[in-house]
Amino acid sequence: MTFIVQEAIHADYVSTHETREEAVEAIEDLIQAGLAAPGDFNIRELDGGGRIVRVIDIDPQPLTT
Amino acid sequence: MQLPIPVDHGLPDDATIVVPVPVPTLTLYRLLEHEHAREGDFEPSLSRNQAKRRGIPELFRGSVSFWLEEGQAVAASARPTSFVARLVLTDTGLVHVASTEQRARGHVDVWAHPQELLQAVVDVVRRRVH
Repeated sequence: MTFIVQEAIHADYVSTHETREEAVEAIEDLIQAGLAAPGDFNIRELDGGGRIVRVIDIDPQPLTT
Repeated sequence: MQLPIPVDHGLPDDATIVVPVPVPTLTLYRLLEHEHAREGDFEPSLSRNQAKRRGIPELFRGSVSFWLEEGQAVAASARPTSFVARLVLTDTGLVHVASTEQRARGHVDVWAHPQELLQAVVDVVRRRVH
């Protein structure tokens, strides 16, 4: 499995990750840095042949203070 | 029409071969925000600061994602209804493409002025997928 962070509307590629958790962290990093809003990015999951098996919307973790 | 891929040229898998649109034409598909295509649908999504934060090379900050098949574009969307534009690109010398299937089967990076791409839209279909 491969996990790709993508822009949510046009599916523009952002980054590749080996685990879903890493991909979620990449999105949350952008949100916590003030560079993205929840919903701006999601994750497409690829099977071993590179086919898209699902697209995952994530619920961001609450910001810590 | 087949775009060049790194393995056929003895290059590493993560190499990117960017070429002008092959003659006579290349048909590609792009997800849109709404049913009517507009220039903004063909603008790169990432800001310079977003790309820097995520370690994305400038080369790819300036490209946009297209697909070889309509179904591949639809599969990349989580929206209940997807809008997919079909573009027929010609070799104007102003549009460059690269097969980047390490980002999903059928994925193509495209570099061009958004107006060039908007002018190449032939039609838009609405697909309900969920």
